[in-house]
Amino acid sequence: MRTFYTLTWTEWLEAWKEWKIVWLPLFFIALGVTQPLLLMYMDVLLAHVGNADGIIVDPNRPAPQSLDVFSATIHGQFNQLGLIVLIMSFMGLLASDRQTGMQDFILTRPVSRNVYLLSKWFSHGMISLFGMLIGALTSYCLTVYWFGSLSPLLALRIILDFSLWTLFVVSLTLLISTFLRRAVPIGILSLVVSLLLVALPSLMPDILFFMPGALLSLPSHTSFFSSSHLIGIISCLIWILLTLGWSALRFRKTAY
Amino acid sequence: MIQISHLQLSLQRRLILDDISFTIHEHECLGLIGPNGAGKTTLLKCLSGMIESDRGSITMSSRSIRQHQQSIGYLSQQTDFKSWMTCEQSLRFFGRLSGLDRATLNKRIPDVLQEVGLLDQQTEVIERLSGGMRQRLGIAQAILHEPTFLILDEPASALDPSGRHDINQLILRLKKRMTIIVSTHLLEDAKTCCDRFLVIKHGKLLGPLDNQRNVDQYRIQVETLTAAPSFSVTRFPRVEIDRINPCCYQFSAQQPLDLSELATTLIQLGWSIASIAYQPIGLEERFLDMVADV
Repeated sequence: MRTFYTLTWTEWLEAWKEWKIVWLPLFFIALGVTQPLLLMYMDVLLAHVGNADGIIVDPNRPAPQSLDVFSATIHGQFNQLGLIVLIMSFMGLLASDRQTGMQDFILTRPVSRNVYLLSKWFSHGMISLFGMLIGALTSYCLTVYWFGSLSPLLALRIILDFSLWTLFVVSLTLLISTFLRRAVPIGILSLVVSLLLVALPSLMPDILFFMPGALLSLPSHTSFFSSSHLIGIISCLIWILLTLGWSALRFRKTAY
Repeated sequence: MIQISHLQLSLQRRLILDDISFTIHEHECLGLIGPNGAGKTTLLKCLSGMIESDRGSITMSSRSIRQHQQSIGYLSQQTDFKSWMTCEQSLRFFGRLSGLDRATLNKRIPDVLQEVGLLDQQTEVIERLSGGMRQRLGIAQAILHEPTFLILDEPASALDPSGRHDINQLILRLKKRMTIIVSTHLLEDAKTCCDRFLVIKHGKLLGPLDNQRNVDQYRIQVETLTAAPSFSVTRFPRVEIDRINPCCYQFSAQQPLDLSELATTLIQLGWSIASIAYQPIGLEERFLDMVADV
């Protein structure tokens, strides 16, 4: 436990020294603000583009609902630009230690490989969730302020789903890091696989309901306790465990 | 004593270590030499317990090396560390991972920094340290928990002559209380601290190379007090004679030469011999001969 604490605490300190603790939440705050802001001032923005008269907006179009705005923020902004930046922020989670010799220095001490991997997953997962949650909270407040009330339980469900997905992406990147040695190819492959895992279940929701990305394909009004949601959560948790287990198996042979 | 028996390791279907067996004696400094890609680093990582071999065993005091993790100190080729840490923070981090408590670390860190000559840099950020200082910090983290077996992977390769000298002196001091294995390319430097060398190529141990002055029995150098008198080369069948200068000749043959026989013949010919000796062979030359044949 002491080893896990030491390794995790050092990762957090490093995130602080590299200002990741600051810029990651700021980035997600910016993302969280963008979607409500765009929808709130859509009329003004559209009026200033197009020809001299601007673009005419149907005055009878329905006003955006707070649930749709919040869902679009998380599933759109967070899962596109946010995902790219998140993967970039942790794609070197094993590769950098390997390059600097830290992995050798750590693993030649009485440190279990599993504890080392778990500390990497936990610290990078928590740092990512920390940034994402601050952005999501900002977005929630702004959405409620501009577009009316939004059930906290529904918002919590959307945030929880994206949190689980984020943790899965961290474990996926960890797994890919046990196959590849350089950070950039690890990042690119993690991104491509993640995008595929989101796109495929949305194309075939009935068949690929067990995929980790299926959680993000659920309709925004899906209840927290609905069977489809619970199945999605359990599937994602199983996928996280599977990727972590596979990483541990791979790391036994490739930790050098 | 550390016993390595029939070690074999394949990675991605490539044989990296092939039936390696040798022994490292207590308080000995063993040099591991070989061309790039010979398998030196992999062998050292096996010795450190970091990589598990497919076959064979590594034992220390009759127990598997993996049960001695606390007694092993390891210096990797890369010593970049976490560059934002200070020397003290870095040692504290490694010390905690080695299971040392706060009180022990408070005492050990200044001692170890003093030993490697970095006490003045205790609060210096690693980013600002020179290559030599980082290397010394690497040794500091390796000896922090007072191991009995120290593994050093090319500790002086990237350093200037004075940095290399410092590292060699440090190894000499550590040798008094530790058993050391060091991989290196710098044979002439390593001669000062290594008791003997093992040569490895293509994952195979080619054999030992002791640190004694070896001689070439196929070449004899003769120095005379006065210019050598003229003689007929037919007196020396199958021997090639090179005149280096009027008072120095080199005799070479395809088979070992008899030193006393040659000396007697030359005296009979009226040579006033100042010295006669087999040609010495440098460590590097012997190493090159060894790896060239494989």
